[in-house]
Amino acid sequence: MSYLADALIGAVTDPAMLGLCLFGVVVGLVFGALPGVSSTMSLAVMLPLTFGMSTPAAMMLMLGVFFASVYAGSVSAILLNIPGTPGAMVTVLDGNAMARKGRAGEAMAYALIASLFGGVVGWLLLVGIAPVIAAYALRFGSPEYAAVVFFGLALVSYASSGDTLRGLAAGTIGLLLGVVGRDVVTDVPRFTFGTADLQGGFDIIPLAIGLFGVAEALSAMERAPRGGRVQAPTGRLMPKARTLIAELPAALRGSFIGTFIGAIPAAGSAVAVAVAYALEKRLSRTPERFGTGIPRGVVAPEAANNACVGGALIPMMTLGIPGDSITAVLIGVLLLHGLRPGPGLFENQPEFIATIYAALFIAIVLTGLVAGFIGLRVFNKVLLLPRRLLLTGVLMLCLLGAFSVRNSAFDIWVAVGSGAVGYGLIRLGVPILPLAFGVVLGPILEENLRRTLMIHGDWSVFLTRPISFTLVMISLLVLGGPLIVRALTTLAARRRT
Amino acid sequence: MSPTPADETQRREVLRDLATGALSLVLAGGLAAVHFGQAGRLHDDYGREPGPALMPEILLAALGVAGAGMLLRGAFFCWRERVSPVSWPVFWTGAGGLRALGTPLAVVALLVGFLIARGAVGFGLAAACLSAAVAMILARQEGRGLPRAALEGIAIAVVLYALFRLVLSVPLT
Amino acid sequence: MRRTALVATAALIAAAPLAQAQGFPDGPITWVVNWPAGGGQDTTSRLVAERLSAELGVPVVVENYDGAGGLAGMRVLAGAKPDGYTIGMLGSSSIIQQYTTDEPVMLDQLAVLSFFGPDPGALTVKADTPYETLEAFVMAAKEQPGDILNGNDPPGGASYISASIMEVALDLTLNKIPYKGYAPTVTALLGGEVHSATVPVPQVLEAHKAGDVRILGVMASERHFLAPDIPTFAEQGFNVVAGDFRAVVGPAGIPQDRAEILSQALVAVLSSAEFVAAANAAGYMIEPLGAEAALARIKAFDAQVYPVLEDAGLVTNPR
Repeated sequence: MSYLADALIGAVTDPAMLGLCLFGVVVGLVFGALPGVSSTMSLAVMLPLTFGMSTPAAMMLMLGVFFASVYAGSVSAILLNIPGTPGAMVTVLDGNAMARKGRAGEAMAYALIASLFGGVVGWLLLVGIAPVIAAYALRFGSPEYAAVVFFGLALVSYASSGDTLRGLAAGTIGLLLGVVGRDVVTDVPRFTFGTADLQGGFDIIPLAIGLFGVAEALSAMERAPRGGRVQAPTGRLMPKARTLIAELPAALRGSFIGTFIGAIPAAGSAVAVAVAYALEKRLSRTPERFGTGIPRGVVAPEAANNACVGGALIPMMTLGIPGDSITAVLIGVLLLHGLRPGPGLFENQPEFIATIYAALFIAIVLTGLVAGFIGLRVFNKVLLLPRRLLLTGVLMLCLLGAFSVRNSAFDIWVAVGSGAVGYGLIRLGVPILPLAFGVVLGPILEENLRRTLMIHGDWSVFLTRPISFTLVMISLLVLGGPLIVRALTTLAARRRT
Repeated sequence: MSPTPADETQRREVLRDLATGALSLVLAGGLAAVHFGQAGRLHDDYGREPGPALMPEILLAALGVAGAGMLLRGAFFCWRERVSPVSWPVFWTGAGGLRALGTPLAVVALLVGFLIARGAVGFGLAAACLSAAVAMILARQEGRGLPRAALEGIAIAVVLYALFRLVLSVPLT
Repeated sequence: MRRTALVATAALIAAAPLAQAQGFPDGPITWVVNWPAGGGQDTTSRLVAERLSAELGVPVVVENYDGAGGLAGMRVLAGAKPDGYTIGMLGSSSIIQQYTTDEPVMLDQLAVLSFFGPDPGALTVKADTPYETLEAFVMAAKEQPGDILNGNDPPGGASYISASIMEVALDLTLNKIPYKGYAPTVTALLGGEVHSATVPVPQVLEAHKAGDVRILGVMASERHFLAPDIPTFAEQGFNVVAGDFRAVVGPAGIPQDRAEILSQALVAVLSSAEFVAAANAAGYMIEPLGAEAALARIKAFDAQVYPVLEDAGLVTNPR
């Protein structure tokens, strides 16, 4: 602890360090707000700059870029309905709906506050109990992983409002899209039609850019509204204190989900935000309001998304295993400076570990300051553009963003194609949410389920391991609960007559 | 009977059911043909694990069930109410009618044109043309001047292209 | 008349590369990486690119083309104009993909410029397993075929191939469990979901030092510089050499003189003590080889891996 205090004081009193982190935060905010430019890509662009720096300086810069870019993914999601990163995919739903209701300013403020809250909770768990969480992450094998994703899908399917048959169709189409490409377990191609482009499968970002960004832009083009703007002005900026406090439990749950799922290597923020959102929807007394633009639909996934930062650093610091592709770049930075993260570094060099923790904390604070005092005002200005310019710009951003994810021309086709499909689904009254969740969660569920069977031989393992047993039971209750309740109430009603 | 708004909404839902159901069935059938026609190791026996063919088969069945369900639900409504789901307001002029599709469809056509032109003339030029065209379509819809919209469209394309190409050094081609 | 014109044009075309080569390179060079930013292929590429730029006096720009399991980038590379201004990094997976994927890029569509270095496989077991030595492991695997769980890449991936080469060479059967990359494989090993893994040494080195896992042997002709205390397979009497490698290539058809300029510059960069120190610190083994020696190494891997793929039933484009 004293190491951490020393490191924090040392960094705060060193203007060069603060300046570096500030630079990183500004770069992260700008890059992260652009769709298709992931945190990983932002970090890789900055990587050569760190070659000549001292290790603490390099980490200061990189963590500034890291945290700010993860937060900034919410900007294009809320304002333009373009999810630029997997972690922002869920924020689109209620964030953009709020913006369309003229509450863009509030939505942005909720996203920022929830992001900072999630970031701090993730940081506290990282600093406080990293080894405990790392041990838990290691106990999280394939059966547990399959169970948690099944849990997420069960929550979504229960909570998804609207028509059951259309929801089922959307969900299965999403899961089928996730199947396309080479199977992870056997390397057999499925639905690739003999082309190389499809054998790696669909990248979720071009798909989401099309389904949400392009589709919504097309939908807004149907007729010209009065006033010449797509959305009403951004409205008030600061939410009321009382409503903020009401969101606290959701933010806390989201933060814990984000930290824990983020700590499981290769899980990623997309799973965390999906589970966090679905859980809030299930717990809510008014689940039908989710997706229509309520703060909770922004707060929970944003808290989870940014808590993932601290979570992903946990296996990196304690075990030397990258929690996701972003921490893989951070490990790369340390390796290039001759430091090999792992149990040795964690136990023998607490003062160095403390400098990393301090750097992340400063990155969170600076992100809050820069985004809060400058970012929100600048970003919100986008909505003041006349409709024709905004929609044209959104389309161009969608095309550029889709290409940038993998520098792939094929992905522009994907974005345009899924944009047309998404628009068709809007017109047909088919919900897009189950489709998007199917694409994200389906492949992970299948991979872990089949790996479980390869290792353990039969399905009973899901019931004999405590974590998976609990998750499967809750999922079944979630799925079957309403049916049982309905059956009981009809029975009671019949007996009364 | 005279068409009332409630009636129109109901008919639109029925039409949506019929269309979604039919599309789901066609999709499920087509993909099933691809899936079961695939040679190679897809349908091999993998011993302890169910193999790569199981998941798609479950999904195709589910999609088929959902599609058939929607189709039946729509058909049942038509049979019970003895009405055709298609009426002029539902099909063409109403809030969800096809007339509103004009602009979005034109833009989709432009997007496809962009994708094809990109290969021949490069990302930048194709994007500038696309951007100008979209801005002009929207300006016409709003009843504003076209030449100015074209210039604005080109300006948007240039700024965003420069941002991605020069600042982020994305190899846009 | 027409004939002379033709001849003159042909002469001009033939002479053009020569004339240009004197000033080669006089513009930025694009370095294609066929994996996303931040991976091993990307980090090593950026390490080289920075120094190659200083060596050649022109910018070397790294571009990541991700997709299709690394094939997307290889197609960009093979399809580029063979003028020497587009080069990139090649890994073992691209050699394997020649035989296992749709629309593959074949080795003869590429011009090998230099070798970067090997990334040998290693056999690692969880510390609480009974396998204290490689010999004990091999004995156990032979006694109970298919009982030992071995975590590795999906079929056709680098660590899957290492495990398969070991199985064939030592005549044993493992239960190979696929994971999507090294990070989840190592997690599964540390968590005890699998008994063993065949990932490269740097991935498990720290866990080995901490006593959580045991590296039983390195599948290389000499010991790994990061872990000089760990013997090779050969030293323990088992003849297994397997693993990933990296090489620098361009599209086939680069004019000879330009290829030589690039090749020499690459070998100069890769041989510099400063570069080797930086790469070694990051865990990468460096073995600078010129174009011919590099091609021979790649062809040897090609010959070694093909029967293994065939054996596993993965070949869809037979040789």
